[in-house]
Amino acid sequence: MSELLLDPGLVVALLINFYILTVTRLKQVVYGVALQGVLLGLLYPVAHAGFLPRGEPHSLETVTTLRLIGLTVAIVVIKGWIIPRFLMKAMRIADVRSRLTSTVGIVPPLLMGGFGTAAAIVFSRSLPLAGGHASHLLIPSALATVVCGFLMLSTRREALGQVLGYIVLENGIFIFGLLLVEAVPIMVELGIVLDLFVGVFVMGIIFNHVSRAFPEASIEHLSSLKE
Amino acid sequence: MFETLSIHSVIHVAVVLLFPPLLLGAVNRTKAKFGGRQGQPILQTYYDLAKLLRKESVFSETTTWVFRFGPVVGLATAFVASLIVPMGHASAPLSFAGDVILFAYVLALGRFFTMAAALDTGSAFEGMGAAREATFACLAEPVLFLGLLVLSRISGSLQMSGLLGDSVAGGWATSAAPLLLIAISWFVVLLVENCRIPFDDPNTHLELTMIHEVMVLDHSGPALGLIMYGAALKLFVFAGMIINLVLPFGTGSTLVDWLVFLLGTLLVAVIVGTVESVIARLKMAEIPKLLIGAGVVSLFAVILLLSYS
Amino acid sequence: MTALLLILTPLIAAGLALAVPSNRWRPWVVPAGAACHAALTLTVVSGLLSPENAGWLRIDAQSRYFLTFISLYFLILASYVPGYLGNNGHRSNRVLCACLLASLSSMTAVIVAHHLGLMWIAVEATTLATAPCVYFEHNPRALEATWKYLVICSVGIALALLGTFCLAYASLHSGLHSLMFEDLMANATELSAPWLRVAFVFVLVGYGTKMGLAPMHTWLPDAHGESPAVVSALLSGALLNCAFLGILRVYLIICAAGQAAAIQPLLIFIGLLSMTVAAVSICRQRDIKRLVAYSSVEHMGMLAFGLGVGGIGVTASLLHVIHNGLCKGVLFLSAGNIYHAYGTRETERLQGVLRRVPVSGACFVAGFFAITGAPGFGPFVSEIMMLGGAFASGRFIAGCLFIALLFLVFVGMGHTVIGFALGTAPVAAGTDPMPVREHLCQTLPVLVALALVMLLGFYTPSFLSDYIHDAVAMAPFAGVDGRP
Repeated sequence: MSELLLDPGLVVALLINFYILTVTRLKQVVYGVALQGVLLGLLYPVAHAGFLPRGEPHSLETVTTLRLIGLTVAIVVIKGWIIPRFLMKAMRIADVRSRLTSTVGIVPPLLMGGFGTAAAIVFSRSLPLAGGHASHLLIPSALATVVCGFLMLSTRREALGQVLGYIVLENGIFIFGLLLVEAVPIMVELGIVLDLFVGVFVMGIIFNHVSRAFPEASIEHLSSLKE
Repeated sequence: MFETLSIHSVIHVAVVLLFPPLLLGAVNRTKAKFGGRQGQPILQTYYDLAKLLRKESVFSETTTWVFRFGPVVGLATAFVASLIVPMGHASAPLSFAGDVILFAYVLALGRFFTMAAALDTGSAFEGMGAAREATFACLAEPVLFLGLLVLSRISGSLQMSGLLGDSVAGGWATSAAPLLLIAISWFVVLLVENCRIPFDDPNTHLELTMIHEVMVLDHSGPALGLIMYGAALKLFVFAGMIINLVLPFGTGSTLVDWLVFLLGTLLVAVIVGTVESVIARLKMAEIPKLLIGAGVVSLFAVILLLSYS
Repeated sequence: MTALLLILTPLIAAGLALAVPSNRWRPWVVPAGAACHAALTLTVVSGLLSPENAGWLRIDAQSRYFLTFISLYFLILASYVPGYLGNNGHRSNRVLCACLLASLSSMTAVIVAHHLGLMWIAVEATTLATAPCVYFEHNPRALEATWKYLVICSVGIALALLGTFCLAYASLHSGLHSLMFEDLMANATELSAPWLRVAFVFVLVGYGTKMGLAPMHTWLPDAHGESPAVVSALLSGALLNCAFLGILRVYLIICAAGQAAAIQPLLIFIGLLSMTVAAVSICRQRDIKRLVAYSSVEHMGMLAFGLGVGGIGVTASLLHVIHNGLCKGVLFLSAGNIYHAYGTRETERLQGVLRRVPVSGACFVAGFFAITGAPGFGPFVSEIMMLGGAFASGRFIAGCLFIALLFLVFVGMGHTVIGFALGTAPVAAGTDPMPVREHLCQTLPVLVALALVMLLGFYTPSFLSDYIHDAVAMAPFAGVDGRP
């Protein structure tokens, strides 16, 4: 059952990567990132149910179920609502350009994203999968999303574009985390989610300072420190 | 066996000759409905064709035989291509191992002659249109080929009738995601190959923004009719490929199969009309981005398929 | 419980710092909090208060070693804070004081966390806690440095999380279902080797970014150059070492799994690369604080090199953590005093430092000799041990490169430092050629750190070598001679 939902979900998440790398209007990118976050949040319980031992459909304890529901809601709310709203607000206050620009154009990162995805799939074949992890797409899509986030982060000129790239990168790591729902305790998981959230928040605050100090919050203005 | 095949062939040729202009009518009618208009008759393309064929042609004195050849070759190649693509859940009349290559090159040949004819006029506008057409064709062709690659990998065949035949139905059960991605990116190819919004506007009035239309500005009378019919045929061929991909399930009855197929292509035409109504034309600089995006998606589909095995 | 107390004490002090209304008295909360933390640390490590070693927070040999150093080092820095902020009285120091204490808390958490996921959380927390400190000056340059620091380190640490997840998957793959350091060490041989190697590469790149290894070091000179002196010293002496601890833990697991040979060349390469990048940058550096920052890149490269060499090199790396940290304290704090006296950090405009600010100038020059490995100071000992390790393991080319780079750094840094230390102070309009009066509260911490560096050059206290011995004993191959 879970494979039926998990794999298409991951494929859509990968397609959103390409979408994010293609579009330049800031609003569309924010929506794309939010959509990906919500999708991954919804995949969380799906992945969890899939990795339970077979033949014991009723082995979900109440605590586990509560944990699943709680974390799913938390992730969906944070990734799909709070962070996008926060970024939109930062955009409005900073009055930045509504389009992202790239230092090397749109097409090369997009192509590299495609090839990076291919490389991720090829590379992850050399890694052994634990028993029960039938979904062969989790690891490649995690690596591919990390690559796409990194491409976005390193090519976009605007400070906000970098923050968005960072969130995509985080999403990739989150996909990998789907493999580990049984190995990582809930406190740690919560801590990670909270940490990443605070990270984006602090970046947003500094971004506001950047946009006040430099026109259009483009990091091209951040170049006085170099050798 | 031979008899059913020949019946199919007769139906195939008849449909190819008669049906395509209806698609253009369907597209126009959809757009009219979205615009809140009554719209032209759904058979308007047939009337236009009849009118154009009755007129006389005017050729510029500066043009050579290349200019006259353009529409003829364009139509002929589209016709050959339409004979290679299987329709109505049966093998195509023109079918042999490796006809995939012929299909792609025949389309390329038609495009080459259309562009050559445009360049032959010596007009700056038509040359510009030809250059754009060449650029976008370069970007659209890989998408088409990657899709064919996926299908040939699934079916293990290099024959269009095999590629788009029964194996696709089995493919949906085992590897749905790549097929879906291919269907989507082929739809993008359909839009760009047939000069549809958001890539090109067939009804535009400004030469600077045209791609395909600007290439055929100098044609008139029967030549223009041939071009129009060729365009309809091309739309039909691509719509047929997508229908083969999306609805590969046969019912067993020849009549029902053909009916499903033709209704399917009409549905594609309606979708094209819808897309044209709700999406604005892209800036010229944005077009390669979308095409390369489609290319990356189909590359992804290939990789995805390879990862299944 | 004890470990939790260690984390909470500075956090409570940070809350207190936020609550104190007076800009003048608030800085005193920092040394007070640091003193409480140091006292608690000393009771724990001296055995008066034996920590129960269960749960996610534990105090093992490595924790004791790092905890002792960082707690005392922070105390030295904290005693510098009131005097330093007294000179910058015009700006509110509420955020700075609170964030300094919060970073002590998060660094303690990095050290005592034995669940690798928890450790990751703590490392990320150190970045978030120190970012506002870097932005203390509130000018565009500081802003740029903060942005780079935040973005580059966040991305790096995110990759470290991926590495931690890979490690978790290796554990899952062998049916272990745990990310506790002890569990992983005990069952290391059963872990999936490919996953372990992937995990180490990600962890090295991730925590290596935070540690300032080349080529991920680009944030480091900016952040160190633009932040207040005490924050630079904190970043360089304590924070980078916490990231090093992250790498060390995973390194030990890999060694226990018998995969050390696969990753050691990588460590040696990245170590020598960092040293090369630093040496080249030092030679043409015209900013006194960036000069010291690049020296940090160099010494972080040495730490990686020591791990890569293995055997006695690991011991040397652990010793070097303390030696380098204390030297960086001396250099950054005295550089801060020099900056305060001259109002510039450009070496061309610093002349006659030894006459203008005799104590700080002398400390800076002594610190320069110490950090470049002159005999008689701590770093000399650990660098010789690293070299010994390199030659003992048969890595002659790497060892020779190491010597050449050390020499290059000595010449490059010496050229600049001697240049501005000697000479006469500029007699420009409005400047006072007379020696600037140096407050005791600003020179005493530097002197204490310098004294410790010199002490360590002659004598390694037995409790330190015991810790190192215990810490290194975890790595099975390091049995050559754990004792320095």
